[in-house]
Amino acid sequence: MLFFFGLGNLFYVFILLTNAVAVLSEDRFLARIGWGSSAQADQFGGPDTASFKAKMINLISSIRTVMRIPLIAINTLVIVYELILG
Amino acid sequence: MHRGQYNPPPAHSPPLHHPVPQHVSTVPQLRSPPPPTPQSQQGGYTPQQGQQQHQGVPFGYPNAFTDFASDPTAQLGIQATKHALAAGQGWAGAAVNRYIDIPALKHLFNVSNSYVLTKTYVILFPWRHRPWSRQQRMSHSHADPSSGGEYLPPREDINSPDLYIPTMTFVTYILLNAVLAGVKGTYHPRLLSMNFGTTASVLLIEFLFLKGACYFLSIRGPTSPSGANSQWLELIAYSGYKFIGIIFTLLITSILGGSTNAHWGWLSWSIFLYCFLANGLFYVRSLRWMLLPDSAAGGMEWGAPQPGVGVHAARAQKGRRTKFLFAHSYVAQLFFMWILTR
Repeated sequence: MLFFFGLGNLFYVFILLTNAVAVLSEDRFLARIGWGSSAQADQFGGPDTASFKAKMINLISSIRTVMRIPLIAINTLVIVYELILG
Repeated sequence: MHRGQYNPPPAHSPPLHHPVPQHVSTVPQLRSPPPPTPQSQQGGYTPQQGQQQHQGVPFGYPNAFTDFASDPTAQLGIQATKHALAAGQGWAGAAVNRYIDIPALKHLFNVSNSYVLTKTYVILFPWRHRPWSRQQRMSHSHADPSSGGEYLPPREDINSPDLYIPTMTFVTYILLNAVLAGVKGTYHPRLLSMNFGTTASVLLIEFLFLKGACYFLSIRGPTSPSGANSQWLELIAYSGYKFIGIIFTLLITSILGGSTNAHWGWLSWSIFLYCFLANGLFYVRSLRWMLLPDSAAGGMEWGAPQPGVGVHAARAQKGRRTKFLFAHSYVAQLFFMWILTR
């Protein structure tokens, strides 16, 4: 249980989670279940920014926008590190 | 004699003039990085070959030193270095000021001895502590009305969060774990780093949990007069207060329960339970002002611009926040404290 909580392991966990969010396809997956970034405006009564779902959609689209380029570099570094020293 | 000591090659072979300046130029290069003398030598190379070479060697040393300071290239380098240093410092300062609110940090470390003792007492025995609300500074001068809502520093207000106790208890917890391992005879230097990693990651997880909850529940902390939001510092501070209960549990358990064997008997469990309950009450009471702001003041700050969000949404929001407050103070703290007392 304690070994789960190393800083290095935590780093891997965060990278994998961020990757998992970043690979979600906007057209094929998010838009179909109504979680696309354009789904907020379609709701009745205007964009309800306070709801849980709206926050989740906003978070996903933000992560996909911001983290896409850094994730490429981070993933490459981790892969090289794992290949050489892992 | 003089020349022969310094550079044998020109003395031996006078007719070979071409390699000579290169040999000469290597000598001052050892002393000063940008040598100006070979430049001047090569410039006056063709008119006076013999004189310039021979005299350039002994006089090249003082020239190299004096020219280094007055050389325009060196001046340019120094200027560029100064500029780069200043720019780097300015950039670092701006970045630090942007992400870490230095006045807020100083505010959180403004503690006194009596504050630390009283706060420790309050965390361990929160049952009789009565006023839990933070005090705000009274605006004596009405010249600046924006400073009226500033909270008092921990030195003057017992209910204010601070960062001194969390920092110190964090270090103490790591060292105490090492000491307990040493008493048991299983100490290894690697234990320190492992403990640090575990504890830091637990704190990080808790911080992210809190921050995510603040995002989803649209809780925004108080904004300081400088415009920076120092809410996350206070979140870290409140994550660190549980170390007091953890250290208390570890100490009492190891003293009473015998340090030879980590016997996790009923005594340890009851002490742990007591610390957990006291800590939970402390969290509920003191996180209330941050997670449940009065709906009149800043509760619906986020949703206020939308007219569609009415009283019902506000009430639902408040209910959700109350649930989260209890879940964080009791369920999550039970998990984290249990992990850290293992």
